Amino acid sequence: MPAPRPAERADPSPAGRRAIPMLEWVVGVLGALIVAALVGYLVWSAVARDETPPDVRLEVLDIQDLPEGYLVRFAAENEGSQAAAALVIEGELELPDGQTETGEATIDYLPPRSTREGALVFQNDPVSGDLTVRPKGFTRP
Amino acid sequence: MIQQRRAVAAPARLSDEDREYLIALARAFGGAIIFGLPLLMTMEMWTLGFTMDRLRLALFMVAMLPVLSVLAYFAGFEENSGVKDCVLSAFAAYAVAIVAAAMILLLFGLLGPGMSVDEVVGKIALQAVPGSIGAMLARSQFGQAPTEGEEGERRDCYVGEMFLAGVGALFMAFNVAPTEEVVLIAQTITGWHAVAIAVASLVLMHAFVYAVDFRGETELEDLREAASEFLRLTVVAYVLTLLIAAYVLWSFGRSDGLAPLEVLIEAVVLGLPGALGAAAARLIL
Repeated sequence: MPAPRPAERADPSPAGRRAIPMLEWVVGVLGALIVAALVGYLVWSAVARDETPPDVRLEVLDIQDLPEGYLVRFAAENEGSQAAAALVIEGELELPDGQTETGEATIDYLPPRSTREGALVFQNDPVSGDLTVRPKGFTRP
Repeated sequence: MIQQRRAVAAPARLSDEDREYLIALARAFGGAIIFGLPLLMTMEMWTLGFTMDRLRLALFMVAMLPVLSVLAYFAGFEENSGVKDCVLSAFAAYAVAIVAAAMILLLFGLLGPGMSVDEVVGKIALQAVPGSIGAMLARSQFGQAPTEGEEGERRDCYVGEMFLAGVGALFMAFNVAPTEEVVLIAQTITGWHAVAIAVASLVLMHAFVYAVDFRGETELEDLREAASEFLRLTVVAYVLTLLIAAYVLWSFGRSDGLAPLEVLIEAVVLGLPGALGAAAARLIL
């Protein structure tokens, strides 16, 4: 336990009461406004929103020809109001000769009303066949 | 160059008071980042930003306001006097923590296009909670330690000690609770492990109280006094810690769908870091 030291600086204002400077008001009120906005938004989104299950929409962004195969980049958007976890995206490529090739990707988390991107890899050219990309399943986080 | 700088500085002449306040804010910003970084770099925290129940997150943010205000009284990022001053400090600490959290999340690419407002707001709001504690404690951590003087006197009472213990428990529990490991440990241990953890928590807590001997004159002379210390300080602080641990677990949805006994075991597991935080708060703050 350190010995009590004398006060290093004399208190500028008597009785420890001081007028609060303008700057402290500005920062404090600014903080209050931000906190009120955040809390207000959170409460609003909890009350005003219906809890619709994850609704995954997939869109193929582009197809790239790589040395190791064909890369199909996709964007997954969740239009529901709940998050999806461990979301499996499956792409099925139906080739003209009747064979099918599948590709799979897992998105760890897809938050509500948000978009995440990923890619599937195929050996055959997706342009030559019939490509369907769909969500296969997910869990609730 | 020098002339130019002088020309820029001249119109915005800051008073000494304002300058000191700006320095305190900068220090608070540093505190928010240092104390917040472990959680800013925890994956579960990013996920919780959008999966956590919105009302529980809002409640946590609001509940932090009185905590921060009282903390401003005992160990603010600047010296405070009066209720208005403390409340303003609490909001200022929040503002600093929110800016710091947003900045670091942006730097790490955890905020960006394609994310909904929900996700961005949730991530920042959640990270602002530990950040605001860090911001508030910046002065006692680096800079003038307020163990002496007015703040030191203020704390030197039972309520003050318990409050600081609670803040320490909250901060440590909050740092550990988001991880999946708490749930994993709670589900794999036996009941005997849980009992041992509770005993160990109490012993460690009491060792801190005993070793630190924070009130100077309190010599633990005889057994009766030791028992009284144990009951009044250690046990009460531990119960407080368990309650805080349970509240944090509930906020993160870690207790949802669990039997009461399982929740208790989770609280005991989280109570170990919480108890150390509570005990160490007296040392660190």
